[in-house]
Amino acid sequence: MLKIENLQVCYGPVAALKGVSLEVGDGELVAVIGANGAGKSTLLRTISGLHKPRRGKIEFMGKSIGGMPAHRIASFGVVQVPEGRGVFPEMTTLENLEMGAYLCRSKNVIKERLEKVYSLFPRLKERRGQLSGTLSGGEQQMLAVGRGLMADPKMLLFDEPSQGLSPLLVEHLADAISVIHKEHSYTVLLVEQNARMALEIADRGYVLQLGEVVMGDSAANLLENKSVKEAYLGI
Amino acid sequence: MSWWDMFYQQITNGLVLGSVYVLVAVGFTLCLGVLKLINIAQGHFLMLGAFMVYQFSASWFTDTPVLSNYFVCIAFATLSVSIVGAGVHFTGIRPVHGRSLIAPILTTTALAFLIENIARVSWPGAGKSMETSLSDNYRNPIAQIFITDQKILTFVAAILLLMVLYLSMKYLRVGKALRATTQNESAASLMGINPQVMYVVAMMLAAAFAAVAGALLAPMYPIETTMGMPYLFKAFIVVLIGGMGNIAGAIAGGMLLGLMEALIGGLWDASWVNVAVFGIIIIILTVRPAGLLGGKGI
Amino acid sequence: MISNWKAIIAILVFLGIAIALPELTNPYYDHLLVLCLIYIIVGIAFNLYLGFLGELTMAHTAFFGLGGYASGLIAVKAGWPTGVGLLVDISICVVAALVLGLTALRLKGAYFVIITVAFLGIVAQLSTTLHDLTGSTSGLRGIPSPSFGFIDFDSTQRFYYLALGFLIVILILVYCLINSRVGRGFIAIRDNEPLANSLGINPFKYKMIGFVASAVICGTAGWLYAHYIHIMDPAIFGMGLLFDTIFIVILGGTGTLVGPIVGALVVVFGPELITEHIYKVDEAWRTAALALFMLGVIVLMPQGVWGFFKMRWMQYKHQDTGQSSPLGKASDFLRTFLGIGKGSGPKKDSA
Repeated sequence: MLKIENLQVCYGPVAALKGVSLEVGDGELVAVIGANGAGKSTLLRTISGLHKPRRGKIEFMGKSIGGMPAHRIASFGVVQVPEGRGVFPEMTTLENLEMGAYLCRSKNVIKERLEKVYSLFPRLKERRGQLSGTLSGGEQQMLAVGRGLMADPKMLLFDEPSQGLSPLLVEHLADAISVIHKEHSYTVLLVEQNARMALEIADRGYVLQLGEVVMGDSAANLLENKSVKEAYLGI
Repeated sequence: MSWWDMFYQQITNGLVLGSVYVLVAVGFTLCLGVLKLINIAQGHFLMLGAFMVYQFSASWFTDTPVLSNYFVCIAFATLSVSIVGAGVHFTGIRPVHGRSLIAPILTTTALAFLIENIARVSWPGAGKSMETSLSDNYRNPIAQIFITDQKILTFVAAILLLMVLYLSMKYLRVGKALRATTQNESAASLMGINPQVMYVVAMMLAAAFAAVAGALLAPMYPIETTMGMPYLFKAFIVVLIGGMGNIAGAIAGGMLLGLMEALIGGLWDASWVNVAVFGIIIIILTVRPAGLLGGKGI
Repeated sequence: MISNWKAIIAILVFLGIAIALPELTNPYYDHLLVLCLIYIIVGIAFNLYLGFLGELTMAHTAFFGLGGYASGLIAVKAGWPTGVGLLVDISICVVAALVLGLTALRLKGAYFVIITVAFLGIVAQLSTTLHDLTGSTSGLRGIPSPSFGFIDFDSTQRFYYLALGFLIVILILVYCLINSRVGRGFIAIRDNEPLANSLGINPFKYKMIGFVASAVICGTAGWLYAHYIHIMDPAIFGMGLLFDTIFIVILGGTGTLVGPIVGALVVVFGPELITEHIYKVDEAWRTAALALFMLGVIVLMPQGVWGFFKMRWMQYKHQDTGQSSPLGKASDFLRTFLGIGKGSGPKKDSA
């Protein structure tokens, strides 16, 4: 579904991605792990159109989307759950969710999607009238994910969703993402610093180091891989 | 005239004054919130609104039956100034987008100058004045308060427009998109909201609101090319009080400012008004640096 | 080595031209030159804050006017010598800057701009409100020319040299400031305030230093203006001077010392040259044209006219010479002066 070839991205004179190639197949959950500064967030931001690539190709469902503005890419069904949640703090939980479905004009469809999200995250229904800026970190993360789902995406991008969450919440989050992927068969690209969490629920994974992909394999193999274990799994 | 009469009179004056301030400030704060822009030309939109309503009613549509109606002229004036607002956006704001905080301030300043001088050339001479059937109609409703129908209209119109704005921001798709863009632009774009469209909408709204204010002022005061600037300053102050990008804050702040000025100026000493206001602002900012109502919400 | 010699020669040539100018031109232009010098000084002050500290302020004309009025009042009401007036001027600016800075400097960006504008508005208001002192809208009249001891600077030419002297002193002082630890602190704060903070540079303290310095320079320019024009009136606090000074710096290029000079020359002489050739042009058209030009500069030449050409020049020669020898120091001065030295230049896009 997503094909990236030789992607090069720069921030001014500094090269953040130096030729990244990867693929995400239909229905797969692919993880991208790596240390801080490896370029993981840059990768997602570029795919979503928040940043323009210097060189390289990004193809989504056969269409070349590299360099397009973010709102257009979103309209193709590429939906990102941004780093740090990115909720709209002065809007209520419900309004945030509605924003997720911005591109949908049918009130009924939005209502349906809302019900689905509520069934996945009942807490959001409880707190639907509360300003999202006052929610806890875990709740905001739930909201961000729910908001992403409201767009009925063809592909979901997660940018370090475990950031700032307690281990217990990270577990819940991993479960939620896994459920979304398996039961609802969404295609997911998951960028994470928490390698263990990401690889445990993923089908395949890539390791990003200093702007380059140094390894790409099935998640199971990566979990067993010695250097991965040492560098990222803390073993 | 008893002290209470004077008090009520000043309250009335303050509310009318505040209405105008709010209209300009709401537009200004929209620019701040959505475009992160200090729109120096905001006062000039007001000035253009006044001139355009004059131009439509006293010149172009003078003899035309329906169109010469004051309200119709206000509508036309507002529309034309909104277009100017869009023009300002495309020539001065979009080209320097993302460069720095300062660049758009400078371009809007340059455009403000441009607008002012084009106005000077288009309407040469000492300034215009216009009258409507409402201007001279003095009323004396309760307890010896002097007020004209025009002033009542100003207040009522402002309230109505603000209500429409508030409801739109809360319930309309476009309004919510504006709010989202204000609060987190990149996240909003990830939802499919086109920031460029939001910018234009915000800018045109800002120009429209200022234009209405100008059109409402036109029958009350001489229409001069310099009339807009003081309102820009007031907008600055309102935003300091009410918080940036915060519509509710602009409304509250504008009314508050109008009331403060009328009360202090009318009951105490007119010349020290600004100093007193400045002092109050310093106190407010020291206690609550984000303004009275802070935040970027509606 | 060659470029160092060039640097010194360039400075001397500039100096020579500057000194000789009044002799070469007619009295009307002399008048414009004086105004030009005063504008340059204000431009330097404004630029100090915008170009090197990275914050836009609108308070500089407030300090300009404040200083001018203060000194004027001293001379007119108290009859004290103009030198005393200058000292009072500077002191008042320092105090005002400190007070304003205490509130304003804790804010940033848009808030800061707005507060400085509010300050300007208040000072403007005071100049008409305190009509017993200031003569309200007709202004303060009869301000004498500066006289220090036996020298009276009452002719335009003489005043030119006085102003030039001030300008040179100020340039040297600002240059020293910029190249000192404090100056580098400014640039660090401008480029990345949180980082500077974490390195032990106290942003508030440095900003205050810059703000006060900028205010003092403005006040000095105000002093020059008051004792040259002999009148101070509230119009000084209006948009005209404010935007002229901003335009000077933007046109000339921020973050350089030469920028304001180029900018002032254009702003003061530009309209004159235009009207020489086009007679019946309404002032409104002229200002409109200037505004359009300013728009074009901002959009198309973000580093200002000077910065633009400087960038081009640097693309021809990317070099950096040794700086330790005395010649190196002079060359360094010129480089800072021209804005091409290390650490003294603006960010890529200054506007």
